[in-house]
Amino acid sequence: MGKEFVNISIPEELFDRIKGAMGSTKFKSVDDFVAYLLREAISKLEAKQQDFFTKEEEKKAKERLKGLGYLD
Amino acid sequence: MLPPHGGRLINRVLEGEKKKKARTKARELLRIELRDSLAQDVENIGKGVFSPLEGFLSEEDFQNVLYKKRLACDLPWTMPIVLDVNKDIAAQVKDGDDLALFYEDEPLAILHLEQKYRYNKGEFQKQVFGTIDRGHPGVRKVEEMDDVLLAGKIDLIGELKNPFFKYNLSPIETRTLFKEKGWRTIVGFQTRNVPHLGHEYVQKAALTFVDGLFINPVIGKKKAGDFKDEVILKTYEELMKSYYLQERVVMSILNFEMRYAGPREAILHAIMRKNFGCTHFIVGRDHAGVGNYYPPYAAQEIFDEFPDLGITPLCFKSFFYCKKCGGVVNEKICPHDEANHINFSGTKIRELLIEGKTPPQEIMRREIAEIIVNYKNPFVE
Repeated sequence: MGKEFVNISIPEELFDRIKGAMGSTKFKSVDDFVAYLLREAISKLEAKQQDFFTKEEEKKAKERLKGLGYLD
Repeated sequence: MLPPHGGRLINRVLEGEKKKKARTKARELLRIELRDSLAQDVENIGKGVFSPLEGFLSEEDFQNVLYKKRLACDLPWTMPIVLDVNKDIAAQVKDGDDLALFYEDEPLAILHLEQKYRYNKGEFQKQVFGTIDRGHPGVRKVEEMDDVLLAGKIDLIGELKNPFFKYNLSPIETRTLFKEKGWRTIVGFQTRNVPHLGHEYVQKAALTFVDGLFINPVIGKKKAGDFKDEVILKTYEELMKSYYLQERVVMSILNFEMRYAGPREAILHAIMRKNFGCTHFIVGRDHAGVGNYYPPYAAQEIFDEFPDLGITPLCFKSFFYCKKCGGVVNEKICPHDEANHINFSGTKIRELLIEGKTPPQEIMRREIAEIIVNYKNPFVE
């Protein structure tokens, strides 16, 4: 099921800091907490992406929206 | 604008000559008849409502969704979107085959079969619905499913018949419309009901903080006693016309059969609205729940597990009309005793309407109630 885990090295001081901050969260392991934080960070980067469909698809959508009275 | 789930809006709709050829070819292929909900799933895959899915889940994805609430690529995904077939059909097909998916005697899609696999129904029910109780409609549905699942990309070569043409917009179309309107933040609202003042309160409270409101009623198979689709749309048309700024609201339907999986389904609902272009999604009390299977706010709490969902839930508590406050409020903001509260009970509203009575104006707008009362038979039989 799915991919297995890989190891990533981080400075020991950072590990200790994460471990300290983890106390106020529901996470039980640093691994889970770091995975959570990375997912949060990566989704912010992904949100900056643009152009989700082609110009041709957009043109066609505009034509239909005009036909239905949504656009002038 | 917010990217679709997975970063790319899926479009597997064939057109022109390609579509014509594929439809001819479909009539020569092994034919699989789809039930209503599967046909809706096929259309939703093809039009990108289920982006990033390009077809039915592989075994690896299926197992990941069950146990990790994510696709194998790590993207949040909580509900299995699968195609089940019986053993006889399964025995006739092999990986690499093209199969024709038919609905109501018309070819709807071609499935490029990548994998067939067996699955454990008990695990499906337990993981997705949190129960194996046959009283749960989702559990019963899984029980009735055939034993083998087929995975693979689809190409959409037909379209489901829909009387609500004007309100049947694809994610590419809603995204284009939002862009043309200049909306950068959009809140999605899911409904299976006619609007009462509580709904209006939630929608307007959310709209106060964003550019636009996307009302997205779920259309399709319903239970006896539910409001008919056309009644829901007519009442919302009236509400939008009389009580909303036209430039701030868009309504479009969602062809989708509810699974009643509560928290897990709430995540899928949010993903679908993200694909339509929403940045926010309203999650109410017992969202997508049924009976007493889920704690009242479980569908809100599950969002904490997905920091990478890419759409922000707007979680509302129970709301009611307070006679002392003189308006619709919720338990977080009203200091008054319960004796002053009028609850928005769907059952009570329905009972009044069945008797031909209009609910009090503290509960439902008179214009909305009149549409329902004057409708010959507003309920599904």
